Amino acid sequence: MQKMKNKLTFAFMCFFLFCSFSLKAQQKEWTGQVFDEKLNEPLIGVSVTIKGTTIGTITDVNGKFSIRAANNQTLVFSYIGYTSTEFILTPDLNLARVIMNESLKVLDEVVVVGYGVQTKASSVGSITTTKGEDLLKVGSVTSVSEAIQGQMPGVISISYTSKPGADAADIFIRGKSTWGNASPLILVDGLERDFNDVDVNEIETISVLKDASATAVYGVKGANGVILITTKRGANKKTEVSLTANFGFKQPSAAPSWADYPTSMKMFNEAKANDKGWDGLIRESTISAWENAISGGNYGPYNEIFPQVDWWAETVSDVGYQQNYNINVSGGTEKMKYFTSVGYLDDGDIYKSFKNDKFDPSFNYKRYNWRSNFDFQLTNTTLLSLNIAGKMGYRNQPAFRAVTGAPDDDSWFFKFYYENSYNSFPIKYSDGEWGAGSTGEGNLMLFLSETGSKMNKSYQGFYDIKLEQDLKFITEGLSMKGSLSYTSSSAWESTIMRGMVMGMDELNAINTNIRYYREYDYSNPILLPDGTVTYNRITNQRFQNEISVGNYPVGGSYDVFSGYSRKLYYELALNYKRNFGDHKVSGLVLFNRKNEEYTQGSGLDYPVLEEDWVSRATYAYKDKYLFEMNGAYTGSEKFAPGKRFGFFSSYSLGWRASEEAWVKSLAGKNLSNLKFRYSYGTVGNDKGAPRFNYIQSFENYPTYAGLATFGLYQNYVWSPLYKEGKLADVNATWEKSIKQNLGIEIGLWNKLNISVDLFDEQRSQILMTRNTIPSWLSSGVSLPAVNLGEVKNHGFEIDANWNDKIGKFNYYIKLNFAVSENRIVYRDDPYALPDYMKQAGKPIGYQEKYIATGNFQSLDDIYNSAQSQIPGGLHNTLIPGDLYYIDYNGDGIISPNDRSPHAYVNYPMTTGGLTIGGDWNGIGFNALFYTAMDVYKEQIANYLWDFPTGNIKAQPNTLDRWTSDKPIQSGPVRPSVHVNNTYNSLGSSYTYVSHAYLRLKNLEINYAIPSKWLKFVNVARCQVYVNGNNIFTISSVDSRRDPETGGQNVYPIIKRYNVGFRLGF
Amino acid sequence: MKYKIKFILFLLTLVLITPGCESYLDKSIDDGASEQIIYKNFTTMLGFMDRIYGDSILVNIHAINRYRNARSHPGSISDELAQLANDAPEHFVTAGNWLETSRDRYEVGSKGITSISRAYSGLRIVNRVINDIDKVQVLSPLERSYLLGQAYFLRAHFYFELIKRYGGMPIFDKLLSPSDNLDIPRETYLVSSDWMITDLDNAIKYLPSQWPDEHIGRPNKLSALALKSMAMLYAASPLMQNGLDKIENNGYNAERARQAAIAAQATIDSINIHPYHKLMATEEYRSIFLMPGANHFAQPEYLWYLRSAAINQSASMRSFWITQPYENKTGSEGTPYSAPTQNMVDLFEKKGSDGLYYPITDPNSGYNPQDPYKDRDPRFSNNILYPGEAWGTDLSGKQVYVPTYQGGYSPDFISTNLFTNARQQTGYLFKKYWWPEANNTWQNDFAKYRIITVFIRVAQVYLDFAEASFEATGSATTVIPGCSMSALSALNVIRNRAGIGDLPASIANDPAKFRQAYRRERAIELMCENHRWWDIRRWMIFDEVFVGQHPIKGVKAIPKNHPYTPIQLKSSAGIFYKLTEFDYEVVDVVTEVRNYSLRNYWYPLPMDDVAALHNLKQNPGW
Repeated sequence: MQKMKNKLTFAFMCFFLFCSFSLKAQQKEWTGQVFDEKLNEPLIGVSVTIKGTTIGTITDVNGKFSIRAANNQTLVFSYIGYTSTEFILTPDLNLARVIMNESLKVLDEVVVVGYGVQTKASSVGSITTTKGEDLLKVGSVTSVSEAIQGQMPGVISISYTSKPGADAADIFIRGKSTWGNASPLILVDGLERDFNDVDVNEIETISVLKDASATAVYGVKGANGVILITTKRGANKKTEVSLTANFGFKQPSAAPSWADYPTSMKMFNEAKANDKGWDGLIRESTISAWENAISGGNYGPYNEIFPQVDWWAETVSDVGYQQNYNINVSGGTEKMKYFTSVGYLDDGDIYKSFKNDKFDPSFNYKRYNWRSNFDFQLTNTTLLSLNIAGKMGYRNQPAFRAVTGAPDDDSWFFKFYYENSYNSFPIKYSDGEWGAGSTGEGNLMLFLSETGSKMNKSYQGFYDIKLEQDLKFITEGLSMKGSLSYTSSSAWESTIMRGMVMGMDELNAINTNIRYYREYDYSNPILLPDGTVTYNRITNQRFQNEISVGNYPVGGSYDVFSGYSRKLYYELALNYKRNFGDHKVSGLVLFNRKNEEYTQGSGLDYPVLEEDWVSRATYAYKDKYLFEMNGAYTGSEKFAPGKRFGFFSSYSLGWRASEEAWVKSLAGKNLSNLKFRYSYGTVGNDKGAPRFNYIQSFENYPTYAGLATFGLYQNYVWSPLYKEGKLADVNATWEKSIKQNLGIEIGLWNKLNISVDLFDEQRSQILMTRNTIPSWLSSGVSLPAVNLGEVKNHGFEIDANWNDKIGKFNYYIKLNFAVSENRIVYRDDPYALPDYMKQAGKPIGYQEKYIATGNFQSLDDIYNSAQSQIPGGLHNTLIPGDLYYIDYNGDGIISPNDRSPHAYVNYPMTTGGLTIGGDWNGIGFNALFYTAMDVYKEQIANYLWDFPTGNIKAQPNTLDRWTSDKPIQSGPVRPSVHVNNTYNSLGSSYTYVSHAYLRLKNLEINYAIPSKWLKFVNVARCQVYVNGNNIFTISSVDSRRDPETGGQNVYPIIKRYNVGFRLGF
Repeated sequence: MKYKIKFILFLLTLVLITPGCESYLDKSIDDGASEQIIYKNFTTMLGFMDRIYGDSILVNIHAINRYRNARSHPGSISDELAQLANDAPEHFVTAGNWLETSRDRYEVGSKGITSISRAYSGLRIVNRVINDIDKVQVLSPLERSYLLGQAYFLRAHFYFELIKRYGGMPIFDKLLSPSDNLDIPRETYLVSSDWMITDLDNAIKYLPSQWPDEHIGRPNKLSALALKSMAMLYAASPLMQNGLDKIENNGYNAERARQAAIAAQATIDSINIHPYHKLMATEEYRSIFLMPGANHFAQPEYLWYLRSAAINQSASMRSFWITQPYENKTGSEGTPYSAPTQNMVDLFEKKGSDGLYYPITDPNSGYNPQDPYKDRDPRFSNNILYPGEAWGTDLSGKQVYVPTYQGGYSPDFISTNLFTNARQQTGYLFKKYWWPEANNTWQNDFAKYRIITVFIRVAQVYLDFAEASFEATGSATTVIPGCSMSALSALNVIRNRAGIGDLPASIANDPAKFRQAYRRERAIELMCENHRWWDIRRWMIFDEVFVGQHPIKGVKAIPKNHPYTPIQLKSSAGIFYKLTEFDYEVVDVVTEVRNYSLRNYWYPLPMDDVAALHNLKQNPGW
């Protein structure tokens, strides 16, 4: 059924595609040449079309064109960045020198705002935009959220993982103003949709609305900022086909490494001794046997007696591959305009492939995107727009064990690279049997090659129909727009299981592979007659039985439906826009509703309903003094009746000083733009609010959690048992935000544009569970969220760009920089807590850490220090070299109360992007440097402490540990080694360190092949490029970790290198 | 113009067909419905309250504070036990600063599965039942009394759990919601206790004397009577006479003691006529604690107990009581255990030459420190394993001996193991809740007996009576009007059942000695049944019990006259060596501290609560 649907969609697209090629008429040949006004140089690639038809051509490398047309037809010359020119063809018309003027960008540029567009000049909101073409240069990242990193000031995007098909980044705008959900509202063509899987080739602009002036129209959903993604549409021009092909190579940005095994063993003994664990020491004979084996090369991943497996090297390949292709066709006539696009992405794996005939246990993602946007001018006053778009995604991965329940829980697999033993068993023994750890786990090769695979299939369809009617017959400037949108998405999952592997059970598991754990007695070498040495096997443990060797049963499920969502949205808007002499007036009244039905696997959830009433009025006097007012009466069904609707409004003022005569006379032509703008308004946020917080519920108590049984000589089980659900708060409502923004825009010499924004936000009514509920109410019951919290947030953003040329070298420099700072104002802190323990006054997400100021130098140090309540921290278990924590509250005891708030949080407070690019004779480049600063994270514990999970595996810098003979340092050094690191590994100023970084995020070098070479193949333009992404990173963090990554249990962050071409004809 | 009108009409129609705003959102789930789940009938309301029995809200003391595999017994913060796990939470409790102790940790904490947190959860459940009983749609009078009787009883039980730890607390007789005024002031202990006793009077009124078979295990009328007499004895005790401002010892409240004695007498009278409940016989003594067989869920001696305790006997009981090599577990969950102290051993009386049992400090006992385990109270051999004692066999039938003597396998193991190497053994193992077959080294027979949590059993009521009667009259032999026995005769019931006969007259006639005698009897009879810690606190005898820098003592049994080398003794094969001769030395267990002062008689209220509420008065000294 689904396939049928896809086919239909495709056929439909093709139909419109072919419609657009109409037949040429037999007419006179017109020739000419097009020049740039200022440089007086020929313009290449100018579109020359006959008005009202799709007939057209483009100018060649000398700016020349020839076209057949009849007298009295109109020729339209259009070129990006230039004002279109039209000529009515008369017999005496001379086209030898067609001059085109560069359009005055700043003034005519439009920006997409909530429910409409405005000219940049008249806009008073804080809005930044990036173009689809800029996103094409970011090194073929596969998700939009990652692509926008560094492009726009104040838009913070953090990728925690590069897992194919699941690499979406977290986005927040202007820092955080709530400890609830701080993610922005993201709309694709006006509706909340999964934007990550939109093909970048389909994107016209991404507009980020930041202040209240821009976001108030979104009412209860707008407080975290709004991102509007607008897709490309056709234009009245000749049909243009563009083809992009990209081939990419990828590598992990960081890789693990460890100390060699003999060193690890020696340090293990030291650690055991430090822990007073005399029972588990490794014998010297074992260590020397290993030393001999390693120096003699007698070890390796398949060596039975001296196994050494570098799991990373064994399972991760040197390079992974990625391909994407897109072909799109756009063009149109007066009556009909179209843009259609088809894209394909194949995001491959950095893991080695263990594909076999039954399943493909690799990480990869294949995605098909399609889009057709049509505009039909039905009458002179009626425009019908139709968008049909969608994607199919196929995400494949090895069969994860759903240990903690979540179907995509990566925590089980990736941690093995950090925790696994390297030297306790080989991948396979010489007799062909798999190796395993002493509990039957840990063989990653077995896992990757034998466990099966899982495929998540997802489908999304976006369908929009819009009708715009000009109502000028009622009154000039009035128009009406109605739209209906439908989004459907659904997901299926297929699993192929080879059975129970590595001791982990699985629903569909039938059987298991045989694994052996073998141990040898290295203390008694046996000299064989041939002079070689062998050892007695002392353990030979076999795990699990199988039915028949080599014929493993394969279980699994095929295309199990795992959820769907259907959104229906309709909107009706009245627009008014009219000029009365020096007065420009516009207005908007809009109404919309949304109904989303969804399910996640089992059972239908209650539909999500939304309703908005929106209005806007703008007024401009002589284009100098601007005033705008926005209002929204919006509702959310998350709250109790009577608490659902709220009115949000914003007021903004703008002054375009550069339009004042006295400024003009002072600044002359140097100052092309000077604008001040200020906005004030209230916006809401219901994103983090739980649904039905206003309802008290009772639940069945699961019987496995405990039974009520009675009876003297036999069991009478009393059930069902019931449990009180979360308590209700009938007054719960949205978060309220009061935002102010002051912006200054300066344009100089038509080359430099700077805009500076200062913002301030007061967020109140943040939903939270009260902190002052005494134990006698908070025990045994879940408390409802109430609107209590308050946060203030402020900061500034700078966006500057410089465009210029030196001779034939055009270049641009774009800089963006944003700083934000937030503080919790109120979070219901108990009144009598000491200030350092109160949350008020500290940033959202602040961490409390012990302050480690050094290491104990002697037993005297230990016994003279405060006694500790930390496990392993009693005086008689500490040893010299352990970390010394400050008794922060001075009560003589080291306890969790001695953790003090750390100044930095684990998301960046300061971000910046610097883009440098240019072109010379068709050779172009574009580089983006990105920095995230003021960000601290806990280091990965398994990269900090030796012997992860007790395995004999030490860190590369294990020998840098504290020893009594080393000079005393001013701060803490690597503590003494322990097998049990409970005490030293507490979150402290030693483990919580800066993860700030500077990264060459993207670099592209491209070359436009001269069109004279392309003529013969009928290609108008062709650009070849190489680019890369995450190319290098400067950071003080452990080089084995990418500073952006989420931690150890995720697919690694990758670097990409691509080659490709962009073709137009 | 025509168009214009048409369009205006069209727009008007659109506005009209659009339903009024807001009502569109009302299609979602609405409130009110889900309460009906539990207010349907008797079964649903009972199912709501029965979570108390199924969900660890009634705390199973054999698995209390399941932190670290259950090996934490409240006895190890009193003088009953020493705890041999390096990182056991007791060590922070015994260090004395309870405010700094994590709130989900162990006995003094108020979060997680601590008794305090569970008590609050329980109070919430029963308060809903009591408040909303009239909302249940279908309910017969009998069903109503079944529900209310249990609810009142459980409210008293949970409230008692709170006030015996914190002292007086606010009266929690309402179902609280976050929007209520939660800043409720505390009452004194006596006010709190009197309110609680009104609940017990209600429970006595509503509860059946014996439940139908399928309900047995729920509290009955006897449970309520017994809890009432226990609570009244507590309310008469020295600690409970304090207000909220200070802590001092002004002795018993004699009048309250008299009332407690009368309440205990009423309980005993009811037991005597009850068809099932009784004081079990001397021969049945061991099976009070180890219920035989798989189909035995209670004993006649149990008055109030947690019938539905579902604990993993194999893992948790083993790690509670047994050291290597009796259990075959390794790592953090296997190695440590709770070891009885010399302090407790010294409380067991010894048979003197006249056939009567005397405390070992009494010259008449003829106690010889170099033959310390001879002729002791039979309950000694019921409760405690001493060094070298024969204890079960291995699978082949080979006799095994307790290797806790100096140089033996057990001390060596404790001192070298990563999880116990900071601790010192006492030399004793706990036998009361253990049987030789239940061990991995042997038959692994964990199902042979059942051990459950008993809150109150018949013997305790006699001991409660003895104490109350004595403290009311100052005499062991005076009979309070309305009672049928004296303190001495009640005490002798328990002594005779245990097999140690009547209390010698020289002790019974000396009030100071008699007080020691009933307290000693209580410590021995109720050893490790979750009483001693509360008893020494309500008696306010920290100074008497915890003497000196190292108040907890152990025994060093040095083997002599045997053919084994030290290495042999240390080895795991050492458990098969029969050693009979030892030199005994009482030693300080230096790793055990009991750093308690006056403030430790009451637990501190959680710092968060005190910091959040203006009216919540913290206990003195915290």
